Amino acid sequence: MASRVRVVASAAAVVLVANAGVAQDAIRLELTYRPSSRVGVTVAPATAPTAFRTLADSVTAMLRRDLQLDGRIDVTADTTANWRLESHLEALGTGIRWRLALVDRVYGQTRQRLEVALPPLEGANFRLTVHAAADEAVRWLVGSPGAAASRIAFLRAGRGSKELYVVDSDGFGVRRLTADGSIALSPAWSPDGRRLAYVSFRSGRAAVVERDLSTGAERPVAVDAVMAITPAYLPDGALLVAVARAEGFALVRREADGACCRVVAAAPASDALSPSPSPDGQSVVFVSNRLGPPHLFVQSSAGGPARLLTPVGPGAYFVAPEWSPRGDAIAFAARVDGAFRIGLVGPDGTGLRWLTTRGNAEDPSWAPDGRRLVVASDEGLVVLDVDTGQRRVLVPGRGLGLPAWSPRLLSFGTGDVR
Amino acid sequence: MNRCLVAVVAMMGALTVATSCRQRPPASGPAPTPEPPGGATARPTGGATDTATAPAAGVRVGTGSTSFASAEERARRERALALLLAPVHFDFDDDRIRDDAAAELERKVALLRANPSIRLELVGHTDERGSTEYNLALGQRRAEAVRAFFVAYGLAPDRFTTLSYGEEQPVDPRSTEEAWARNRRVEFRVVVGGIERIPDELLPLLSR
Repeated sequence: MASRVRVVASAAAVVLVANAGVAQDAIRLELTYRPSSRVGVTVAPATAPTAFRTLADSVTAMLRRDLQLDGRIDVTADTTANWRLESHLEALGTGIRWRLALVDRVYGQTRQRLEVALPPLEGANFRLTVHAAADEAVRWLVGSPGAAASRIAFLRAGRGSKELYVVDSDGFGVRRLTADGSIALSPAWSPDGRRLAYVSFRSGRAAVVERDLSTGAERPVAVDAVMAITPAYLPDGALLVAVARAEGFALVRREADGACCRVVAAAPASDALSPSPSPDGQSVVFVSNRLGPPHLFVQSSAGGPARLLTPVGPGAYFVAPEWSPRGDAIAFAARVDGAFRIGLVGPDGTGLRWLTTRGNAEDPSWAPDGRRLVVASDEGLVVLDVDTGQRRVLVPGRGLGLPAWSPRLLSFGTGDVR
Repeated sequence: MNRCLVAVVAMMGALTVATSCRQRPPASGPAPTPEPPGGATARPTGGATDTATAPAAGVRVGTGSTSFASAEERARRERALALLLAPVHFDFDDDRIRDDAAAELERKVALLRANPSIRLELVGHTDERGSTEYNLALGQRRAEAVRAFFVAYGLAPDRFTTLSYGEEQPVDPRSTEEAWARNRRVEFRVVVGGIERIPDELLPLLSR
């Protein structure tokens, strides 16, 4: 089976230019990932002049780890694996050039190449750059890019406070963003990954704040309400925010230019909160207690009638919806017998299934690949693969919550799935 | 009768009776056991009771105007403040005012009527169960329920601001039924004003 795949691949990939789009289409078709069979690859140690040896070791280790963590690739020491990733570091002016190549070992030919200008090891973007190269290598191997070049924002509870943190998708590089001793909640990434909106109690009451991640500058997001919670960005940069009114929280839309605010969802004497837009921004899923207990509803993000998504019954408690970047599923948390579990449901309300049935897991957030979820659990932040059922602990510890997975923050690819 | 508070409100020269129960009460009804004025009750929620609300203008509460000269009276004033600021509690995932909370809120109403300069911040809290974001909204609903209760008694809405901390500020960090019950609460903060007068009907309660 593997050898037939190879024949097609070698016939199509005649042009050995990095990211040659047309040639890769055929390869992607034949090598499309199937959960049942993982592609095997060896990652050769990066070669480098002595001066760059430490850097080369870091690059090799990160590459191996990213490929393994993707879940669709078997990184093996077995030299009989069909594919081999080779890389080389060399000086380029004052910087460093990293050449990455995918070698077809059956035919002894290089199928893909990538050249990357590598920031210094201590530089802010070193890890992100290696992650993005790994994502491209994943695309070579299984047809759609990895999501290593992304980060997860989350909260860590301290003594009477909750501070905002980010971590790389591989669990390394934990950084604290806020240190004001106040309570931060509900981080949400802007579509370009450059800003985080979140709820802060710094001013004494819940308000939405937007943080520029490159400068650290923050500004309040004015929504003309005494209390604003659960921000979420639409693809055009507009924000959906739940604002307090005497008759309950209403979802309002604040345009990217600051124009404020149009009511999107509200119902008498009840709340609408925790919005998550569909990938095209046309629809929004949110939580409302208009039937009594919290349920999920879907409606147009411009307003209009809402459609109930979750089954009505005793003990119903559905919260924390997040629409998949693939568009085909909505992840949520439900309180069942006193514990939270993670479920998936189609945007039309069909196909409800449970991803977790034991322990406590809540606040799911999709990876940009639409295949993995990060959830807050008793053991820390955990990544679940909804296709394969694999799981790994991203950040261990108690008191971690409300994780939000970023979009891809850097990409070398040309044919992204998104 | 235990679960119902019956009170009589002198309003505009007439006698209006309001009944307060856990469930939505009838709009009005005969009062078998009239109680002293000032303790009017009405459900903050439930449109059925609207006619029984808002004694407001003209009702003179706390006729026992007192100057706080003596130490005893200062102590009484402190007890009155403690009574005003004592939190009221709620059932799980519920923003309705319980009977015990209603009784406490009625005493606060009497104090607020006697001290019209006082403005309060109502701070809603939840227990740790439930989702963080949903609990923020639930705490806000609880604070709004208390405000609605006060407004139903004729107190001006702008004397109150509301705020929720959801599950973020438990008074008891344990994970027990007892702790959860303590944490499901609305707290009261004085924004401006203070206790200057104590209404007559609270004098027995606040004297030792």
